[in-house]
Amino acid sequence: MSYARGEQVGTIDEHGHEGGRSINWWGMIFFIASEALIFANFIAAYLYLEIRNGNWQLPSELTYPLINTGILLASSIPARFAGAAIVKGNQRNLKIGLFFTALMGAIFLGGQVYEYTGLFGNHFTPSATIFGSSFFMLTGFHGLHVTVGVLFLVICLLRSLRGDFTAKNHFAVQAAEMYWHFVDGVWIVVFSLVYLLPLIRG
Amino acid sequence: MATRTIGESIRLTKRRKSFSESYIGEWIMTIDHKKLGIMYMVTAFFFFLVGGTEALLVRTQLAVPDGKVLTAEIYNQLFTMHGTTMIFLFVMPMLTGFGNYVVPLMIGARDMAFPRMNAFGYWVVLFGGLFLSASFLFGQAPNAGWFNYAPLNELTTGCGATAVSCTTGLNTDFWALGILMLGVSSIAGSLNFVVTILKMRAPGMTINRMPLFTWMTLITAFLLLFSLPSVTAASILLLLDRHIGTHFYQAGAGGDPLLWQHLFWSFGHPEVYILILPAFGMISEILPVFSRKPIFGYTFIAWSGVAIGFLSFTVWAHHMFAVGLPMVAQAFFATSTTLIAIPTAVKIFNWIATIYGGKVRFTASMMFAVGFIAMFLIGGLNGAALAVVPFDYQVTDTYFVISHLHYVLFGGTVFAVFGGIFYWFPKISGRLLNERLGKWQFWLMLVGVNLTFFPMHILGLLGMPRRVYTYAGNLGWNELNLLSTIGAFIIAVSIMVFVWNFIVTLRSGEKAGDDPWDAYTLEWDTSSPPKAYNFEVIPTVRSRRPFYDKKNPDIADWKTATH
Amino acid sequence: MRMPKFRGVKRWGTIISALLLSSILLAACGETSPSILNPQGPVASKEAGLFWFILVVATIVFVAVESVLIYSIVRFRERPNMPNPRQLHGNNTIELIWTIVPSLFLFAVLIGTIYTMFNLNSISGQGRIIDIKVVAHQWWWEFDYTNDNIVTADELVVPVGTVIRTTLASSNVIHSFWIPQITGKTDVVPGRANEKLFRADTPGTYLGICTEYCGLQHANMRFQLVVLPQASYVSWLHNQQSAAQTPTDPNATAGMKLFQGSCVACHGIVGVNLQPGGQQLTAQYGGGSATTLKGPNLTHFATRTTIAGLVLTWNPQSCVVGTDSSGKPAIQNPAACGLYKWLRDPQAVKPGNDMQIGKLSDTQIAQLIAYLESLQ
Ligand code: HEA
Ligand code: HEA
Ligand code: HEC
Ligand code: CUA
Ligand SMILES: [Cu+2]
Repeated sequence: MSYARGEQVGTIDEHGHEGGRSINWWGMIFFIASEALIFANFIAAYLYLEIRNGNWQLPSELTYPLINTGILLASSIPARFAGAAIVKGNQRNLKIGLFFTALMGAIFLGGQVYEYTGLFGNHFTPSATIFGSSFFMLTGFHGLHVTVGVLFLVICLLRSLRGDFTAKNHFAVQAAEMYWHFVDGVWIVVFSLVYLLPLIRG
Repeated sequence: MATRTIGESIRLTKRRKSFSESYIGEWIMTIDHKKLGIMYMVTAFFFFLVGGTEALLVRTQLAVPDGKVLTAEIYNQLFTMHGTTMIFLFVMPMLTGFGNYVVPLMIGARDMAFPRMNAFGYWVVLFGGLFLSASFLFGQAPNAGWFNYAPLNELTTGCGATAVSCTTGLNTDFWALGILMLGVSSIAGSLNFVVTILKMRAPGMTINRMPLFTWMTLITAFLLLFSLPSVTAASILLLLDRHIGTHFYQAGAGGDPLLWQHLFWSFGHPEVYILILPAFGMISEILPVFSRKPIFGYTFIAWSGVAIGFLSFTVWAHHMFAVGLPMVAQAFFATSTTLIAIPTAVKIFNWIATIYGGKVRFTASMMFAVGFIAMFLIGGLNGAALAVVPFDYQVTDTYFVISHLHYVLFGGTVFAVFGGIFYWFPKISGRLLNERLGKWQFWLMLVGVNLTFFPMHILGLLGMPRRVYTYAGNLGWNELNLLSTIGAFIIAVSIMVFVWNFIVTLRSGEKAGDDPWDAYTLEWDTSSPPKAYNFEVIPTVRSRRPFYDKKNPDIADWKTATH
Repeated sequence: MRMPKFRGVKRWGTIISALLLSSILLAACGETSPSILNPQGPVASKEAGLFWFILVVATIVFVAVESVLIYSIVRFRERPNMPNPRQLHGNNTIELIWTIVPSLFLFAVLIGTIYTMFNLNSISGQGRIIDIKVVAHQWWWEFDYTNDNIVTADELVVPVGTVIRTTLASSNVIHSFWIPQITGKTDVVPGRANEKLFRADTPGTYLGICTEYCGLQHANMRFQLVVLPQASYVSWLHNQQSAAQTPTDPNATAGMKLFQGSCVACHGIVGVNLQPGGQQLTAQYGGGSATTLKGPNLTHFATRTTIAGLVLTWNPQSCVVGTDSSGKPAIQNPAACGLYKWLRDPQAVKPGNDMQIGKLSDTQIAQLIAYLESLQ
C-alpha cells in the first residue's frame, strides 16, 4: 500500500507493515557512499604518488596528530549518546551529546590548524613538494568534512534547543550522527596512510 | 489490501497548491517528477541543437583541406565543447529526463523519493550548462578536449615552451567547475533513482518484475554513484594545481600527468555505459510492444546489464593503451574489454529474438529501435576492434575512434532517444507525433549518420588524426571528409524535420488516447498526460506485463508464463 | 508506406556494403596517404595483419547478425488478419548458445591480440641498433642521435633495415609519436621515458604525426621519416656531424650577421653559437635530452625539405636570391618560396608557435635565406 506522508511518498509492502529503514535513511546512506568514494579516489591518488615518489616523512612530531586522533575518535561516543537519547525522546541527553560532539570536533579542527601552522613554518606547504600537495589535499579535504560535520551538529543543537525533535521525528539528528561516524571512520584511514605508513616504511 | 482511494491523494495536490500558481511559476516551482522530466528533456534537446551546431561548424571547417572557416583557437574550443555538450548536457540530462518521467510511472509510484532534490538536480544542470556555454561569451571556452588531459589542461593557448607554470585563461576553470556542478546534479539524481526504484515500487512489483528500462536506469544510477567521484576528485586536484600551486599532474615536481588519465577514465569508461544502458532499456521496452511479444530472455537482458555495470569498472585503461603501461597491464585491460562484449552481444541477440516470430508494426518508434540495433552493432564491432591492442596503437586518436564513438553514441543512444520520444510522446503530451514525418526523419537520419560516420573509419585507417583543425590536401583524405560533411548536413535536415514534427504535433497533432500502442507497462495505465498523482489506484502487479494482464485477463502472463 | 520500408532496408544494405568495399580498396591503394594498410616495416605489418584478421571476424558477425535482423523484420511484418504471435518468454538453451559462440570468436581475437602484443618488439635488423632520443616540443620534433652527436629537427633520418630504438621525452605536455606506415603510436609523456622500436624496410619518405592533442597547433606537429640506403645514410651522417660552413657569398655573409644578431637567441648552429659535438647541445628533459634553446637546430638546414612541422615545404631552388628594382637583394618569386613566407610572418603561417620575432624587411629576409641556403 502506498501513502503520502509529509514530503515523500512511501510504500508499505504487501503484508502491511513498514519495510525496514526510512527512505531518508537510504538517501543518506547512498550520499555517504558517494562521499566515501571521493575519499577513496583521493586516497588512491595519494598512494599512487607516494609509490612513485618513495618514502615520505613529515617534518613534524606525531604527538599532536595522535592527541587529535584520540579526540576525534572519542567524539563518536557522545554522538551515539545523542542519537540513542532522542530515540527515547530524551531531550536533555540529546543536547548534551550534540554539544560535546560538536565541541570535540571543533577542538580537532583547532588542533589541525595548529599543526598546519607548524608545518608552514617548516616550509612544508602545498606548493613546496608533491608530498606537501598530497598531504594537504588529503588532510585538508578531511578537515573540510569535519567542518561540515560540526556545522551540521551545531544546527541540530540549535534546533534541539528549540525543541524541534521528538522520539518519532528526528531524522536530522540521525543523519548528523551517521555523517559524523563516517567522518570519523575516514580519519582512521587517512591517519594510517599519512602518519603511520611512513613509520612502517621507516 | 493494496488499494487506495483518490481521497488520500488529495493531500498531495493540496500541498502543491501552496506554490506559485501562475503558469510559469508552476513550472519553476514544480517538484513533480513529470514536469521535471519534461524540463530535463527540453533542456537536453536545446543543448543537442547547440552541440549539433558546434559539430556542423567543425564539419564545415573540415569539408575541404586547408579550411579557412575557423581559426585554430576557435576550432579547438568548438570540438571540446561539442564533445562536452553532447555528453554532459545532451545525453545525460536527456536520459535523466526519460528516467524521471517514466520510471515512477512504470513502477507504480506517485513521485520520486526526494522530489525537492529532484528539482534541485534539474536547476543545477541548467545553470551548469549555461555556465559552461557562457564561456564562449568570454572567448575562453574549454579547449583541452572533452577528457581534458593534464598537463595541457594546466596551460592555455600559446603558452608554448614555458610549459606548466603559465596558467592564465579561464578555459579549463570553466570546464572543471562546470563538470563539478553537473556531477553534483548527477549524484543527486542517481541517489533519487536508486532509492525510488529500490523502495517505492508498487505492491507485487518485485525486482524481477521491473520493466527493463527501470532496471537499466537503476544500474546506470549505481554506475553514476560509483564513477562520478573519480572525476570529481580529478577536477578538484586540477583546480588545486591551477590555483593553489600544488603539483599533482606536473611531472617535473613529482606529480604525474597519467594520474589524471587514470582518474578520468575510471570515471570515463563507466560513463560511456551510463550513456548507453538507459538506451538499452528503452529499446527493451519498445521492441516487445511493436512485435506483440514479451521481451525475449528478460532475465538475461537484465543481468547482462549488471554484468556490463561491473565490468565497466575494470576496463578504463583501454583508453590509455598508447601511454606506455606495462604489457601485462595492457593485456589485462584488453581481456576485460573483450569480456564486456559478451553481455552486450547477449542483449543484441535477445532483442532480435524478440522481433523474431512476432507481429512487427513499423511505427517510427520501432524503426528507430531497429535502426539502433543495426547501427550500434557497427559501433560495437568497432569497439571490439579497438580492444585489439596492437591495432589500437595504429588507430587510437584517429578518426577511427571518432567513428566508433559516434556509431555507439549517435547510432546507439540518439537513435534510442528518438525511438523513446516517438514512443512516450503521446503519453507526455496526449498527442501522437506525425508518423510520416517520423519516417522521413528516420531515413534521412540513417543515411546521414552512415554518410557522416562511416567514412571516418577509412579516414582513420588512412592516417587522419583527430582534433586537427586543418589537414593538407595531398594525403588522400579530401573526398571522404567532404562526404562526411555532406552527411552531417543531412543529419541536420533530419533533425529539422523532427523539430517541425514536434511543433506541428503540439499545435494540431492527432489525439493519442491513453494507450495508443496497446502497450504492456504501467505508465500506459494512466491518462495521457497522467494526473499529478499519477495513479488513482496504485495497481497491484503479478507479472512483468501488468497492463497486458489487465487488458487480457484470460491469457494474463501470471496465468500462462512460468516465472 | 508498406513496401518502401523493405526496399529501404535493402538500399541501405547496399550503401553499407558499397561503402565497405570502396573503403578497403581506397585504403589499400591510397598511394599518397599515410595509410596503416600500406605498411613498410615489421611493426606496422604486424599491426595491419591484425586488422585484416579482425575485419574478417567482424564481417562474419556483422553479416550474420544484420541478416537475421533484416530477415526478422521482413518475415514477421504485420500483415492483415495476422494472428497474435505466441507469447514466448525465452529459452535457456539458446541463451547458452549465443553466449558461448561469440565468446569463442572473441577468444580467438584475444589470443591474436595478446600474441602480437608480446611480439611487437621482437624485431632484428642489420648493423647496430641506432639510439635516438625524441623530444616533443609544442609544436615540433627534435631528434637527438645519442651515439652520433647530432641533433636534427622535424626530420628523422634513418638507414633502411636497421632497428631504431627511440626514447620519447616531452618538454611540456603529452604528445604522441606515430609513423603510420612504420609503427603505431606511443605517447610522449612528461616524466616518462617511453621506448619505441621500429625498422623501416623501404627507402623513402614517410609522414610522422603527433596524435595526442597538444594545444593550439597540434594539427601542424608533423615530421618526416626519411629512410636512406645504408651508404647514403653514412654520408648524410658525416655531413651532419661537421660544423656549419662559413659562407662566402656577400648576401649570405650579411645573413649570417643578422642571424647572429637575433636568431641565435633561439636557434643553434654548430660552429656559430654551439660547440661541435652533440652532447654539449643537450639538457635534460625528463629522460630525454635536446638543445636547451627554444627553437630547432639549423646547422644543416639547407639539407632539409620542410619547415616548421611540415606547414611549408622548403626547396632552395624555389627561393632564388636576386635583386629588386633598387638593387637590393630580394627573393625573386616570394610566392613560391616557403621560407620567405615563414620569415615574413611565422605567426601567420603557424599561429601561436614559439617563434615570435619582429618584422623583417624583404632585404633582410633575402639575406637570411641566402645564409640558410648555404648551410649544407
Ligand atoms: C555509448 C557509448 C559507448 C559504448 C557502448 C562503447 C562500447 C565499447 N567500446 Fe567504446 N568508446 C566510447 C563510447 C562507447 N563505447 C567513446 C565516447 C570513446 C572515445 C572517447 C574518446 O577518446 O573521446 C570510446 C573509445 C573506446 C576505446 C578507446 C579507443 C582509443 O582511444 O584508442 C576502446 C578500446 O578498447 C573502446 C572499446 C569499446 C568496446 C569493446 C565496447 C563494447 O561494449 C562493445 C560491445 C559490443 C559488440 C562487440 C557488438 C555485439 C557483439 C556481438 C554481436 C558478439 C560478437 C562480436 C565479436 C566476435 C567481435 N571504446
Ligand atoms: C552524444 C554524443 C555525440 C553526438 C550526438 C555527436 C554528433 C555529431 N558529431 Fe560528435 N563528438 C562527440 C560526441 C557526439 N557527437 C564526442 C564525445 C567527440 C569527441 C570530442 C573530443 O575530441 O574532445 C566528438 C567529436 C566529433 C568530431 C571530431 C572533432 C575532432 O576530433 O576534431 C566530429 C568531426 O566531424 C564530430 C562530428 C559530429 C557530427 C557531424 C554530429 C552530428 O550528428 C550532429 C547532428 C546534430 C545536429 C546537426 C543538430 C541540428 C542542428 C540544427 C538543425 C541547426 C539548427 C540550429 C538552431 C535552431 C540553433 N564529432
Ligand atoms: C623566440 C624564439 C625564436 C627566434 C628569435 C627565432 N626563431 Fe625561428 N623558430 C623558433 C621556433 C620555436 C621554431 C619552431 C616552430 C614550430 O615548428 O612550431 C622556429 C622555426 C624556424 C625555422 C624552421 C625550422 C624547422 O625546423 O622547420 C626557421 C628556418 C627559422 N625558425 C628561422 C629563424 C630565423 C632566420 C630567425 C631570425 C630572424 C629566427 N628563426 C628567430 C623560434 C625562434
Ligand atoms: Cu603534439 Cu599533438
Ligand atoms: Cu572505454
